[in-house]
Amino acid sequence: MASVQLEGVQKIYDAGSRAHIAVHNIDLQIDDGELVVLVGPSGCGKTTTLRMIAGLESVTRGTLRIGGRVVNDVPPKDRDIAMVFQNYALYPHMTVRENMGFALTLRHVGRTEVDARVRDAATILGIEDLLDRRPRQLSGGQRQRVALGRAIVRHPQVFLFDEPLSNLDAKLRVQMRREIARLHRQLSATMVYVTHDQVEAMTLGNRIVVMNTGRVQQVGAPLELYERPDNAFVATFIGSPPMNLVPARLTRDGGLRVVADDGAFAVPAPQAWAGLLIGGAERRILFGIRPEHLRIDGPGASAGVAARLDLVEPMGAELYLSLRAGNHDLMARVPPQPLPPVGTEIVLGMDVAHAHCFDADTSVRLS
Amino acid sequence: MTAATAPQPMRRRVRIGPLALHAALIVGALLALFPLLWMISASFMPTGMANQYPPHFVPRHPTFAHYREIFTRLSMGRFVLNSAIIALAITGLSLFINSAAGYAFAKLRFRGRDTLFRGLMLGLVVPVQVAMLPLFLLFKEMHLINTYWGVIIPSLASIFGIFLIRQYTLDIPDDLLDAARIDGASEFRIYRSVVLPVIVPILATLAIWTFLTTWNDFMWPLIVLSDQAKMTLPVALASLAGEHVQDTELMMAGSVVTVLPVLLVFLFLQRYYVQGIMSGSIKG
Repeated sequence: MASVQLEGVQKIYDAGSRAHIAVHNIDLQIDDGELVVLVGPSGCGKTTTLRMIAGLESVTRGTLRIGGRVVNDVPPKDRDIAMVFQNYALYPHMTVRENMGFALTLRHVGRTEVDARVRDAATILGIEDLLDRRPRQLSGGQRQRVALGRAIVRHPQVFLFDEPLSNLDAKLRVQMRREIARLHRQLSATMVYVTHDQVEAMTLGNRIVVMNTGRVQQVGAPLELYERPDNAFVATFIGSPPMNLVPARLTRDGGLRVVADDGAFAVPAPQAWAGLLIGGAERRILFGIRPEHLRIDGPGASAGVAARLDLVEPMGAELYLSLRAGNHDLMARVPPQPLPPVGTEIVLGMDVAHAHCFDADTSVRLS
Repeated sequence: MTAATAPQPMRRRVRIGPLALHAALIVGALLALFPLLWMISASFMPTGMANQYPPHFVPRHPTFAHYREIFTRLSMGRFVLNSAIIALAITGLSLFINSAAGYAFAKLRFRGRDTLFRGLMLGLVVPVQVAMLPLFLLFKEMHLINTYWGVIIPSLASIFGIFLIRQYTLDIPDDLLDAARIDGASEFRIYRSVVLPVIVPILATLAIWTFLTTWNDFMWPLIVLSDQAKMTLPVALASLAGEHVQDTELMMAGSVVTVLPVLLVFLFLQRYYVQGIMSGSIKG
């Protein structure tokens, strides 16, 4: 096993006269045995970063180290890595056994050892019965298991996963997610995992790297990202349903308050935010509050936000409420309870102690 | 009432449609097969019977005499061997060259790839006949006239073959090749162990097509091969036709020998051939 280190790594695609920067200066240290998830919307550069680690894309600038060795110019086969692809990428004409053993055969490993290692990996994944089948005779979940097996038999220094669960149905995805988490514990291997699904990122990663438009937005443990997002992008990307963000003013006028830009609501701000108002009586901010920090108050509540109830989505253990306050759409997550009919005005309570404050222009966290 | 009467013409149309279609297909098939069947039948007729009037369609006393004659006196065996050597060599070598080139055009990144490919496509519009004279002069300089290589070399790479393989190979997911790269395969190994097995259907199609065209090829072997011992079947058959223009049955026996291998190859590989034709539409 080994660590992976990216120092100022950059990827520029030279498309004739215009250069397209796919990945800007990434600095990232992935420790030995760590599972790091790269997450972001499509086109954010996460897959390009993974492919650079794999050696399938060249590094335009910067230094890439695996296990302390600079590998910028080392071909993929000599990097001692294994990769699991979104569409499985199994060799269609080979049996499961041949698929899993192919890399070892290429490295002239003896037949008995290949057999033993393939069998070990198959046992770990519970696919011993499938060894003589061909990929087309397998279900999606089985194929992905074989793809995992192909990586495991190699005993690589680093495992790379490129959206491995995206082609599976929801139920299987949850199951395979647990399987990968179990594998990580069992093999205590260094893993880099790319996904666009923040739930996968939150549940799998020791640490998460959130990316957008080729830049790293934040690196941190899952709950750290959830509780203290560095900017508005991370705030809305991590968490489902996403955090409510409302353009607003932070003001001292009538006590320290947050007033929505269209005046739809005004709520008292946490005292800690007072320091943000140095050199002025008010400041434009992005006011962020997670859906679970909104609640329905009784009609007589004082510091409430008047909002129209637009939609109720019962999720079983909780309700998702879509609400409209002034010009702003809000989302609330509340325990099941009797609700007034859709279309009526209700009063929302905000748990402002958990609110977030971002700069209105740069979207960077202020609080 | 309208509801009760309406389905009737519908039902009649449905029944007549396929019937008429099949009748038309059967007539078409018979028309297409008749010359072939008559060729086989006539090759077994005693000398002179094929030209009698009213015509006979089946030999009354079948004879192998013509087959004996073409293989003994006319040494047809030699021509079969020549054709086989040339057709097999071209098929084998060109499959390798066209598939490697098609794969490279589809999947490998190199400078000038698309420009080069467009250039090749332009070459498709140049008729083969235009190149024959310059090629002949060139081969004469290279002392390739009257050699097997003189026939084989011009057919080793075909633009059509490269194009066909390229289009098919484009459908192979890049991840599959990347997986092999990470597994440790060299570029040639990827071509041999991953790409070739996956494109077998199109290779079979190309193999049939190449074998058919080279086996049947008349013009270029006629130009290049002057020595009778090196002649291919179609050329030999044509020269027989000149000498034995009266001997229809003998000519038919020669034609059967010429056509038979092609038919066998086609029957043997037709499963792949159909698959190959369909491949574009299914894989999308």
